[in-house]
Amino acid sequence: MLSIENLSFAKRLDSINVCAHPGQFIQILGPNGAGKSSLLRVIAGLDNADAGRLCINQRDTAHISMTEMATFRCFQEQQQSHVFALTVRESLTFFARDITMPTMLENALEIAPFMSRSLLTLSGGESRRVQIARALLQIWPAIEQGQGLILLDEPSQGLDFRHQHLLLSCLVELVKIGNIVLMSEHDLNVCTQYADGVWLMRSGEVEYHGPVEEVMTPDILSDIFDCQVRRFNDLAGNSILQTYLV
Amino acid sequence: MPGPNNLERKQKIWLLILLSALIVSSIWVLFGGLHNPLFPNTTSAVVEQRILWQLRVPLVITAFIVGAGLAVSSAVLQVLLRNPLADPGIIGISSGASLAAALFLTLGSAIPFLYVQYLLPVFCFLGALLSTAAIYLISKRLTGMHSGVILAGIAISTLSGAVIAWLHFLSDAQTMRNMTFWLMGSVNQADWKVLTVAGPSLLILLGLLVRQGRALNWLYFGASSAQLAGLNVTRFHKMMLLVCALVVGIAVSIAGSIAFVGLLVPHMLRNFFGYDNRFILPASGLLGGIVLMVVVLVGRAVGEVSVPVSMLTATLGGPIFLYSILRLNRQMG
Repeated sequence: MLSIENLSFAKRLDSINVCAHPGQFIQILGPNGAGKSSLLRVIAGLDNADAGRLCINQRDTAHISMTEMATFRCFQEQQQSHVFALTVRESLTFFARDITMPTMLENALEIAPFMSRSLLTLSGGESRRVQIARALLQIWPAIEQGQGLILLDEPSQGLDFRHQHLLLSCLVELVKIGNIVLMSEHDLNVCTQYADGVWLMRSGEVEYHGPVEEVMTPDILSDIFDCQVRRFNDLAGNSILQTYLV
Repeated sequence: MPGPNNLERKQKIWLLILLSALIVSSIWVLFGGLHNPLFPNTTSAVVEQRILWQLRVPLVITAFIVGAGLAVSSAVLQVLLRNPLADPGIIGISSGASLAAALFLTLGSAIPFLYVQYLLPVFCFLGALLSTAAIYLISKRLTGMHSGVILAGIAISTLSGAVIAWLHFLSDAQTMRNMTFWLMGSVNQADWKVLTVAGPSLLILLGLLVRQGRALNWLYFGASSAQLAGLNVTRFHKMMLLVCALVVGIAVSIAGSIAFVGLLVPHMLRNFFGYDNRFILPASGLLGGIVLMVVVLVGRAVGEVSVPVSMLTATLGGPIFLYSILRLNRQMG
């Protein structure tokens, strides 16, 4: 279990109190600059909080070594730049403890076709898929045991909709065996289909958190984003959120 | 795919091939032109034996440790500074060390010779360290620029070069000849006294660098990826920069400023064998040694006078480097 108490960081995060249980798939939602990436970075251990506590399974992360964290926590960052012409295979091998690509991951990310290409030649979406694979492979043994803490910062950026669905379905499978997924993501509908909890952020604070159906209401979303949101049902009865400006 | 700490079979075979090439070229440098140096029974053979022990063995040791030192430290610096063009020569670490040496030789002529050989490496190291620190600090201010390190390095190296040139201009004939050594490099200067100190220290430092392959593999993706993989990046960065400066400082103190080996060797290896530093680092050490042996052999073939090493490394290295970058471009296209 991940619990965050009164966490503040550099004017970007202001006393945040939330928690995530094993087997929860949480979407972090909010306008640009709300603090989603900052929150993920602090949870990942890349930045140190100025105040408050961050505990994983009742252990304060301040007392968990970086080496130990690296075995069960992974983080796909929003930005990634490469200077060297490494191949996809190399980039995965350098981070993976086990060396074979798990079938489940390959089915979701479909990386095999460009395994021997240079990272510098990949398209934005392909590059993002490799980056997600690298993050997950780093802690794959923990994920298989349902002990993983998976942090993803806009993973579907650049992905075509088929690959978005493949990725999210794969994450749902990982959550089912006990892993925690925290994902910052802008698409309202894709996520209402897959996530089961939402942290809704604005100006460095988590203003609403809870189950998707309670938080993702047109009223709350319109307020937070300062943009109109309405809900309607399609012919098959699925609820769809539509956004528009007045 | 190899596991975290194991080399692939192919990589091991290539390391063996490089090692054999190093041994063959060393033997060639050692015995080339000598007829019977090992079991002397004539006067000329006794002279040959002296040549072997007093000149050839120190030459082989110098060529190996300097070549390996420059190549391995460059391979490390390229990843550390996230710039495939980093080379102690290009980014001004060598010139900082050379400048310190030149200053020491010009201003410290009053120091008894006995101390010179011990103090000189210390000065070279301080020069290397100061220029490394300067490059690091300047490039930090040029945030967001991949070429920041190179620009800072060119500035430092131009400045050091200018000061060395002034010293050269103002010095007497003997000091001037010594200066040429610092500017162009030579593997023929080292003797046993210098090598007994420099040799083991360089080997220990090289051993330390060669083992950092796994952490350096993470650093290809930047500091935060390495930190996420469990590396204490700040401490690692500082320690590696310090060790690289030490290695370059010692290498310069025994062989002057040798250009291009550092840039060329890891670059070529990465181009042909991929980016796995667990292989690239030891392979760079071996190939760096081989390149300097070849330079010695070519120099020997060219003439009796000892040819400045940088002249040869640039002559041989330039075309190979050009080929290598064109090949890279084709891979990316």
